[in-house]
Amino acid sequence: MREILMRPKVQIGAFILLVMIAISLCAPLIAPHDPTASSVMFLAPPGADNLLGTDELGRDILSRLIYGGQSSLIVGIGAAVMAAIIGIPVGLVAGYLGGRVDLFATQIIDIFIALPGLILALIITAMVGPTLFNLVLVLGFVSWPRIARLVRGQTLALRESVFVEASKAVGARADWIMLKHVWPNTMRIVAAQFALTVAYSIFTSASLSFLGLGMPPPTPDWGAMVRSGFDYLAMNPGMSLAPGAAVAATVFGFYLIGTSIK
Amino acid sequence: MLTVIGRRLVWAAPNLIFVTVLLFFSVAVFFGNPAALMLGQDATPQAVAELSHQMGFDRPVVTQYLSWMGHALSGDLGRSYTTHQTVAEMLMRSLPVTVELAVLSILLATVVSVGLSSLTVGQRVIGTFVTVLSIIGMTVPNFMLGMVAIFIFSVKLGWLPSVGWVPWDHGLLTHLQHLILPTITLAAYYFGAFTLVYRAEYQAVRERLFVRVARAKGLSEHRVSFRHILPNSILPVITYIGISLGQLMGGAVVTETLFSMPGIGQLFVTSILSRDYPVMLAIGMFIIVAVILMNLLADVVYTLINPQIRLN
Amino acid sequence: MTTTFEDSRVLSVEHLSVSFDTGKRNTPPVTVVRDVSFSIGKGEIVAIVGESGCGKSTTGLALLGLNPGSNASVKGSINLAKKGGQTVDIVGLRERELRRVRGNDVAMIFQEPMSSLNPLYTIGAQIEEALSVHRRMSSKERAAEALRLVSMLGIPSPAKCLNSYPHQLSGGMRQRVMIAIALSCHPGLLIADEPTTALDVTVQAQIVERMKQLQQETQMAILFVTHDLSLVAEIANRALVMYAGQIVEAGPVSDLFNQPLMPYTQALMRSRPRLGDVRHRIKPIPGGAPNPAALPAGCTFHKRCEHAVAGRCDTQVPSLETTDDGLRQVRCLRWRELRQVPQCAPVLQGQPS
Repeated sequence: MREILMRPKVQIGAFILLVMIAISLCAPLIAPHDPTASSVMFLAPPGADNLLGTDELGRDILSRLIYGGQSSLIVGIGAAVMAAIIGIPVGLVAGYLGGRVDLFATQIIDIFIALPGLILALIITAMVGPTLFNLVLVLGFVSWPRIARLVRGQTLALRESVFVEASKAVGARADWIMLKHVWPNTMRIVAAQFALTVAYSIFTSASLSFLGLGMPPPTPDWGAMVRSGFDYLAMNPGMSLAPGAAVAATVFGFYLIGTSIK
Repeated sequence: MLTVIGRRLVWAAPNLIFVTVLLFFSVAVFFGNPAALMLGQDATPQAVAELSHQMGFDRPVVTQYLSWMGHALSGDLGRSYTTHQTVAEMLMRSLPVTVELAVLSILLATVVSVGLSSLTVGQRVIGTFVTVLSIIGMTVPNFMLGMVAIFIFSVKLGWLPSVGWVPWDHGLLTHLQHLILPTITLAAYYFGAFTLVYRAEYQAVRERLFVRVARAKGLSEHRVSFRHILPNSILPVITYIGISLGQLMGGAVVTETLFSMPGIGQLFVTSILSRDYPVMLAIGMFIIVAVILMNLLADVVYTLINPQIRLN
Repeated sequence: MTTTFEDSRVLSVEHLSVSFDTGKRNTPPVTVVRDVSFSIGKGEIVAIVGESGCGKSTTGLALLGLNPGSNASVKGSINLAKKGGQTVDIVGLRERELRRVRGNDVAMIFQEPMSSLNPLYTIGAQIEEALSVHRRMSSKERAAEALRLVSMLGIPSPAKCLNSYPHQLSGGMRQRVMIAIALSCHPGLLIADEPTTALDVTVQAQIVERMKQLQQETQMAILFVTHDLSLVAEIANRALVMYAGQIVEAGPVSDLFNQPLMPYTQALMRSRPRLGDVRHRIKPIPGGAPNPAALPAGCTFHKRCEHAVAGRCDTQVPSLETTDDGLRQVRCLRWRELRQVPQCAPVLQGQPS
């Protein structure tokens, strides 16, 4: 564990994430203005009072940027948790029981992995309506197959080695050692995939918001901010580029962590 | 070999049926009675019931599904609520836009990632730079990349237009000029993905004995790279290309929206936002079927290319 | 098929050393081959024998300039006779020149026939590729020559073989194809790096037979790298015994087997199982091969040697000395003393000790 923390990739990723999480948690303390308070000063350029300017309803962009992280992180992490809640048990059962159960599960997993996540999310979000909770569910549903597949693979490997050991009549000791070594490895792989799932969920939820299917206003939402800022790109590029960069940075952070825990 | 392809086809059929049924039922359940949607909120229950009956929405869902599938397979995909054109027409018009964008993007991504990687594997500084570029391509969302590209090349420099598509009759060069930014934006993600896969494979293949044997024959490094290492490393990329093309059939959604391109992705989103049930259903089906078929095609192509599988 | 040389030597290696950078800072490079010198005459078969890790494969690779990676540094000189009589020093040779030599004046076959061939191309294509590098032939001529080479190696259904892919052939057939590729441009020297180690014993015998036949016909020199002493006895004229990167004994095979002078060679002879001699026990050599990054002081073999003398063998470094008749070389501090005492039974006659 300590060795993992020493790697530069992990350190950079963790640093970015800690900054993001800290900002989101301390939003009420840091944000200069109320993110949902509209005013007559709309589309103001960046100035002393509004460091990034104001949007088309006169709201302070910087405050909205700071608060925007909250929903992104909740959706991202929530979705990954959801995916794990569904995926890990499915993978375990499929890998452990084998046979027809496994065949059936693999078919379903393969189908869902093949479908593009954004399309699936679009369809389902359109059906159930975009709220924070629904987004968590939808994105979790989109991501569970990958985790299930990973866990299934690990379970299969574990099952085979346990059987091999048993047949060698070495005794319970070997099995226990196998569990001690194989299980932590599995945990690490699942943790890596968890981080990647958070990255993917934030990526996808931002895309959904950009397309108009994100959290309803007035909740500050990075993807939606990018969309509304697009029309004013020439006037105040920060209006779009800042939230866009925020999404990119967060995704990048989780991605770094996910790819370096191996 | 034909048996392998045949077997894959046989397996694909139940997948297709399963997914299309699932989609149909979900849409039917969640969107409620389309007749009610069409007539609006003030419609009387009677009017809704009448329209339902007229359009066949009061039949059991299974019948509706079969009827829809039957119509679809003969080319009738219904009529849009909002534009009142046939869905088939709308699909046919937007398909070329998406296909062109998808093919060009994948082509660009493949050429750049394979070319760049083949030339820079083993060189530490440039190699790391390429890896970083590919990570950026994969993690930065398309709308951000596209936005930055538009900001730099369209707003600030004025070199390229920010709208992605003009009809062919405006001239070939103009048409292509408008496609530059969206193609690069879309290609970025795939460049990232392909590069990571290809580099890993390239480094592994490089260590294999037949590469050393090729050098021992007196072949130049150039020939060893391109005739021995590349063909062996590119196999996983080819499968990935097939899968990516499938995903792009409907997945270029964000890029098309950002660059106002009248492709399938944009059509899909618009139909969702405006609750245009027939269009949404038809496009959704199309996308899912296209994805499954493209995956199958990718599988088949891989089988054909790899002699170890082909001749067993 | 015969080529003429003005000088009767095909290869002359002088003070060859190969070391690898460990990649870690503050650690010196590891020297895997140390001050190796030997020569090979035209038509000679010389074997390099030793345990794994003694540097024999690295030596073989160095002769083609094929040491892997940019972290290898090669010192000394490797003088190879080219066709047409000139000699060229492989060490420090530019890549373009090296390419002209590889396959053409010196060729190599490797240990793993399973992975020596590109899985995506047919056998015929790969043989013709070798031909196209150094010989000017039309594509019809190449195809015919490929067929001839493959038949010459004793491959059944040669035409079918040419159209097959590597995974469709057995290990023995693939190794024959490798030999065909190596011989395709008539090199003066063939380096065979454990070519039969990965094959069944019966296939091994066939390949060795075929190699001996070909060698007789072409008068090509062979450097045979192996750890198998029986192969050395069967095929080689001379042998070089390597240990920890150095040559520790060299000489004609019959002399070496009849009276090994260096304790390591003696130990190697004794550690082989011999058919028919029930009373003779196999004596394995105690300990393991030394780590090239941490070699013992003095004679590198002293810790495992049954004749080691404290105070001498662990402090003095033996040099390679030549016997009075000039035919053999030994690297041992005590070889003259030990020579008086008969060490082990003459191997070639199979008499009990």
